[in-house]
Amino acid sequence: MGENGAGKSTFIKVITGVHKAEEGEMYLFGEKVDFKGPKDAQQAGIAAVYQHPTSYPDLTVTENIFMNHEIKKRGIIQWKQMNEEAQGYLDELDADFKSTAEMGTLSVAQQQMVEIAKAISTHAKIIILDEPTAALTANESQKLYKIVDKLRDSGVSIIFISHRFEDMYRLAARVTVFRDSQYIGTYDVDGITNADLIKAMVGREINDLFPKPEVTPGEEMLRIEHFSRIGYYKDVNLHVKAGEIVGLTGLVGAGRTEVVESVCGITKQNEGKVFLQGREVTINNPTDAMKNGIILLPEDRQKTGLILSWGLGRNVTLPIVKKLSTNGFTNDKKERELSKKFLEDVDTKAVTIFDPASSLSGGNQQKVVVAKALAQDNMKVIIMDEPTKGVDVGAKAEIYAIMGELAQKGFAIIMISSEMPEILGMSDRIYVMCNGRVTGELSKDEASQEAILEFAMEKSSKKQKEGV
Amino acid sequence: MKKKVLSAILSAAMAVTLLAGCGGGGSSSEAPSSAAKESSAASAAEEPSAASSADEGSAAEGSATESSAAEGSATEGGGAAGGGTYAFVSKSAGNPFNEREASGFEEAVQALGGTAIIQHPEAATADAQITVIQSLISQGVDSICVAANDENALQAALEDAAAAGIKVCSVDSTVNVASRLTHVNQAGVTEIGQSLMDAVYDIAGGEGQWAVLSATSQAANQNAWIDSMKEIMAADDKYANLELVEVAYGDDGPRNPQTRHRLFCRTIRT
Amino acid sequence: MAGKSGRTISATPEKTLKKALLSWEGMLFVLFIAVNIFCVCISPVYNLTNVLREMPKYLAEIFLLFPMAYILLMGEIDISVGSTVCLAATMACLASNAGLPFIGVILVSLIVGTICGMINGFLATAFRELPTMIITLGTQIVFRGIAEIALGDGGSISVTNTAGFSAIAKRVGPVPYVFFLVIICAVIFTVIAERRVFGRNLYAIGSNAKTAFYSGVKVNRMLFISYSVLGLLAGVSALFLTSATYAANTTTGKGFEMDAIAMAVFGGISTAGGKGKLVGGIISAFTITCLRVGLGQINMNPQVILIILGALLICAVLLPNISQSISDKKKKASRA
Repeated sequence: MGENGAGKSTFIKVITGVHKAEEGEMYLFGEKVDFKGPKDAQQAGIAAVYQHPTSYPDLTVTENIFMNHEIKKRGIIQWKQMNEEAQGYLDELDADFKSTAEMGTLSVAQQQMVEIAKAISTHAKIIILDEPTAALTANESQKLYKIVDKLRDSGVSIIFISHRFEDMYRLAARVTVFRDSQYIGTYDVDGITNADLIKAMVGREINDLFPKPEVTPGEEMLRIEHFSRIGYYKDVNLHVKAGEIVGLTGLVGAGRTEVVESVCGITKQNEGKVFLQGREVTINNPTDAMKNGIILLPEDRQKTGLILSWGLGRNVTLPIVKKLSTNGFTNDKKERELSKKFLEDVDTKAVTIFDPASSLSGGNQQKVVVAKALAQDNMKVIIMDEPTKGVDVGAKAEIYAIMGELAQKGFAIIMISSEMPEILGMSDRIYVMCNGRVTGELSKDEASQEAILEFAMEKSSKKQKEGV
Repeated sequence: MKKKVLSAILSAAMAVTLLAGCGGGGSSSEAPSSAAKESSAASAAEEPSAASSADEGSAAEGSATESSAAEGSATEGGGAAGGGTYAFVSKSAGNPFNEREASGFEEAVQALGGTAIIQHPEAATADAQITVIQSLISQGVDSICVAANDENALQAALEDAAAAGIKVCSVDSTVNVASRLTHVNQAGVTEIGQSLMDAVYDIAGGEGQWAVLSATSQAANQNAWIDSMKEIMAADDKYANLELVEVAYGDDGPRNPQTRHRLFCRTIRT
Repeated sequence: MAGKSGRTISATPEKTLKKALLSWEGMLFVLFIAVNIFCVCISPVYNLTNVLREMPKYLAEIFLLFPMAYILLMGEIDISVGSTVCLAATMACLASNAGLPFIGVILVSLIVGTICGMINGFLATAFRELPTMIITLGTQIVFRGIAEIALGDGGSISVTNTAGFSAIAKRVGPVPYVFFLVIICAVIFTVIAERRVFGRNLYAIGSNAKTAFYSGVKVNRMLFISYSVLGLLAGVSALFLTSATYAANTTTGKGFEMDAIAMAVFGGISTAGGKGKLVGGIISAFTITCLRVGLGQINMNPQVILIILGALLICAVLLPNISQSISDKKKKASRA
């Protein structure tokens, strides 16, 4: 375990032979080894499943599993045999898809299963999983735990890299902590507490992970009624008041992102009205939304939230270049000053505002996105889609603190999240969606993991018959 | 590292100087791509229909008159005295007829003691020829002799040349009267028209459909021959059973004529 | 809301003369000087008067560089503009021969060009999933096809009343009118790209069109405008082209789009979008033009000139990649 940038991935790359160690020794099954490249490591029985599956979307599952070690008889590939073997692995993993499916049609969780099957197919003795739960929902994570259990029981050793404490408590016998490219120590999971672990990972104490201050909700800021878009969501009603943090949760694919993207003008709903502070507004594009004070922090910060090749300053001022311009000419000085202010406000770890956004860690990148939202100073409603996905513990706490302060200032916040602790810790009210509909609304007191899961999977079989 | 880049660029620029040497006269030594054949040959004679084409250099009379034509223009241009630079601008590179004219021109000029510049424009267009003419004006040549791709389009450029004291004449394919001092034809238009009609008559066996596949659509010489053929065909009953189906232009590109020829054969046979 | 750690971030930009000189544009400028020195050495008649005399044809093409650069900066492309020039020139000649006063001829050329550009713009924005390379490949064929139909059997039209056209081909001293117009356009387009909101948004779209859209940039509108302006300038180009030949034919404008793209790429504008400066394109355009004029004056074979230009273009694309990987290796070495 360790924060982003602590050195975990690089360390794994040394183990799997991608990088060469400059000092130190590696012993495999008691014997000293020196890998010259990834193939050596693979042949020695080490396999890695990375966070972003590097698979071939147009090829089938079988082809991906057997890439580079196809079953051949006299030079001819044995498809039937490969398909059957692949199916065998998939059955072991309790997969709900066939080995002849195309990779591109599978969800992230399913693709990950294929990667694990690939690792098994190389008869690896040591399997390394790099942040496998980052892109999974609670349900899918449970499935993954079962798979890991099975692998462990069959004699395979697993190195499980994760931010999440629940992963560690659930699966691990021992935990190794990295911080700032240093090895901190290895501990027995039984003996350690959360606080100890955080201290080791972050180097300082974080007392309250969810500092949500008590705020009395003010006027109703945003309300959407009967929101529908064919194929994505139907009859969605929700509202959020000033000073409230409303959590919006559900399984992946429930339609949460789609709803907020329509509210923010990126897509257009077929039916439904949007009310801002009681008045109906029409939102046809992102500019309309921003003019009305509705700001979105998108789910995929690298693809839709930031321009990675640009400097931080320009990223922050991108939506307001016109506002800051003089007579249509860009005002670089104003932009520099403004972006500096907001980047410092959210405590971004960077040296200058010209640092390219790509050079920042995930948590810092998210802070830049927050700064970008704050810089548009007419906002009333802030919608954050998975604000702490891929963000390390230290930055997470800071983002929660910022959210709390914003609520105190009277902004209305909608937070989409798949992380149970986050939803339960930060939300004043929770909406749960399933298959495109809002299936439940819970207040903070009513909320619990079980209640949420029930709504998230409610009448799912009935839903399949109804359709959206 | 940046210094390396800078010096790389400078040395590349200097390396170009070396190429300048081999670029030299720009005459017939290169012509890299496939010949910009003006047209393709006629099809088989079994069928009553045939496709004939206005072929520039096939007739034997061509070669005999070329060198005299070239000589004529050289003497026109510079007077018989030695020294002086005389330029010849062909229709485009890879034109075998123009190339023979050009080499004849070169021989004649050098025999008279002058320097010959032969230029083949990069495409069979008036545009490309204008670029060349402008460059020759800058170089201050004594005369320009051009086989024009378009009768009218070169007028402005050639008038510029005349204003700069350069003597202008055209050869093979003429430009309009205002643009030039004189035009040298390799053979009479009616004579060419007649011999081409005779060829058509023989190949077709006296009757049938035929078509013309010419080079560029604006070239004065070929259009003149086509007109002459039409006049001859109308004037003489002997050709009453021959039907001219179509006149098409291959634009002097290597591929175009061949494709058009194939299209012809297909449509005519149906 | 102050940051808890009190950390400050620097906002002072660093600009040095050295950095400017070593940039791609700086090196291009040095190359421009080098090329001119080179031409003076190889051709005895290479001087300002002659260069300006031989420039007009190339200058007509350079108009296309500016809006093409905008489109490339957004990560798109337009390979139909040569056909647009052909169609506009054809219509202009027809209009002139139909007796329209020259101002009408000018309008015809500009309007025809702009309409072609708007068609491209409409298709590009209505079908964002289609690559613009394919869209403009289609319009390239269609536009030239329409021109060929209008040109009729002979495939070319000559202008009978050349008064208007010869008027715009005139010069002030040795400097042709078109040169002034090119410089004016160059300045306008450069200022917009570097210093105006429109330009900032151009680079945003080219770097990440999705993020730009999410951040409120009107992507479709900017695409439509850029394609339309390219069409408009194609009309301008057609007018000056016709003023040199007094004619339009089926090969008018062929290859112009490739020349414009080559000048832009050589000038440092990446076809992937988001990178490069207009200044680079302008310097490279004049560099290439001077090189062509110089080499033409020593009667180098035009095919050889094309080979040299092609080789230069390949170097222009390779060098940044090579220098990038060299500096990456250096970074890796210093990190270890």
